[in-house]
Amino acid sequence: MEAKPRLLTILDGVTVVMLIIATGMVFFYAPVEAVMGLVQKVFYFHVAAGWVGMLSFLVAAGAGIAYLWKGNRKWDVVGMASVELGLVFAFINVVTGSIWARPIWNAWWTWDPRLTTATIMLLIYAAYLMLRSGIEDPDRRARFGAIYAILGFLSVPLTFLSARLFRGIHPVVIGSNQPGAEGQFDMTALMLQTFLFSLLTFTIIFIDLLWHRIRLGRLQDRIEQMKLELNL
Amino acid sequence: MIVENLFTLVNSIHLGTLLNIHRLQEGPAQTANYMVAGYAVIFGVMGLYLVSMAVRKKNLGRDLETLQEIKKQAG
Repeated sequence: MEAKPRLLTILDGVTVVMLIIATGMVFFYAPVEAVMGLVQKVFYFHVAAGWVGMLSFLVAAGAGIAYLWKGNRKWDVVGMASVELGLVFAFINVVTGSIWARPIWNAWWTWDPRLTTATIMLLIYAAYLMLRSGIEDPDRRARFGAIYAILGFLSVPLTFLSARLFRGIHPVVIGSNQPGAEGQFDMTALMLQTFLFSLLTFTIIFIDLLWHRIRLGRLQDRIEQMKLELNL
Repeated sequence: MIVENLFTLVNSIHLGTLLNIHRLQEGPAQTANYMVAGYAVIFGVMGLYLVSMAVRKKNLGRDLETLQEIKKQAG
């Protein structure tokens, strides 16, 4: 097994410290929202998880383009790692959104454009993992993964813009809300600082986890190659 | 008499509603349970993912050792 790079160990430490600070800011620094109460605190990590989910799918699409261009399997490892991470964060985003919605919208779920497109995006990438695992030939699998990640990425801007383009009840953070949006609030300076720090923290978590997952993918690839060499 | 009673009743309901509104406006909604549930999901899912990565790494390490052993014996 490859030795763990020193920089990755440092990044692990930075990630943990940043997560502790971000959590502390959410609970002890940001004020309690006047109407929604404590559930509004879910917002900081809910949006950050959504951002990282979309960033992961962007990285996967970029890796897909790089694979089709260069044909190097390392890009397939990056794409696969990124999709897996994107699914984890997109799942957190959808579930925490549902928990926030219960007291605010009085419903766990509603087929609002943002919720619908986010679910479709999640399912598209869940299908990526399932379909990929059914292909045995590594090169064919990598080609399929690359094309799927590029096409699947179409669902990401659609999800991002859905709350702005279509009339729904999901509030937007950046830009103006639709008239029917429910649950929006005015961010105070302390809330904004906490929000931006949470976004940064989740981005660092993503980089750290992606690095770990790529290392795992490389190891997986190496074992697969050895099995082929040994005719196992 | 009946009208007077009805008037008192309606007034009391209205007053109750007003009191309720006043009570709601005193402070934010009581949503602490939902916040706890939200953060349990966030840290729970991230924790599970970390565990899954650690388990996979351990298993792959074991596979690699076995394959290296086989390769050594074969070569």
